[in-house]
Amino acid sequence: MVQPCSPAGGIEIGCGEGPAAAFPAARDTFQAIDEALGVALSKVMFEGPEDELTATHNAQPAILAHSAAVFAALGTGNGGGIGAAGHSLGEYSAYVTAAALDAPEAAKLVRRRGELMQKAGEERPGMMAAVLGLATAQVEAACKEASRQGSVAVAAN
Amino acid sequence: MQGARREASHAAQGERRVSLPVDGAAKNHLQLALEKAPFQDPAFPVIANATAEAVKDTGRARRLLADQLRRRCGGSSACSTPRGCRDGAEVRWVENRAGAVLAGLFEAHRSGANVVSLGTAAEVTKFMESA
Repeated sequence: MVQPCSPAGGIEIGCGEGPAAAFPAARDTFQAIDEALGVALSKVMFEGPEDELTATHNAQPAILAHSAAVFAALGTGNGGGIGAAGHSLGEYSAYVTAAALDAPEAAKLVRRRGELMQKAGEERPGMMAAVLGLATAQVEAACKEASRQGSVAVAAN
Repeated sequence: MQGARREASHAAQGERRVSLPVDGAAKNHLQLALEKAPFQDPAFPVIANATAEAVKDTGRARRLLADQLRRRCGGSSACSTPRGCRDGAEVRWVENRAGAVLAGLFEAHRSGANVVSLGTAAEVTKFMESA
């Protein structure tokens, strides 16, 4: 079994609430992360408000917390896995599933990562766009063309 | 001045790059946090976004997590079967989160991959019963 872990984005109010209610190990994981961060992140995940949940410094640890809680609920330990991977933020979750980082420590790291990204975005405003159905070379060519207009556009993922 | 030279050099190659000082600061701050975090060697390989390599030790993990902040995250690298995994093992991909962000990515990159997304209690229970 290989554990791919999700990237940032697309988080919704209520995420993780079901596993927390059904599995003590998941509930314990959320609680440990809340204590490590010193904020009731799980309450924000389960109840909102949405603008607080989707703020980068909350969204990133929330997504990691959800992955870690589900992994804890599975209770497979390390025996069931042969590898892990994750896209962007998910790489931290992958290290949790591989027992290299414990979930509360990983949550602190991604919260810090989110704070730094938020600050960088405020100091140098930019935006992201998802491009579907184009080959990498086509996207890179479009970025190069757009960058001639005085802006900087890069194909990031 | 150095930055201007670098920019001119990239411009000569048909690229436009601008060094963003905040990026470097963010990476440095994150690197410090990673150095302080209690890491252990992974129990199994973890694929790094920055290089698509299978990471097996703490030092490399810290370094590549910091690098990841300023480098392109290869979506297809997240779909790589880790090298060094058990030979002949049937690979089942388990996405531990609601939704199907990576499941879609996997379908695009690995036709026929055995992928399951786990986010709700019902999905977790069903998966555990089928295991």
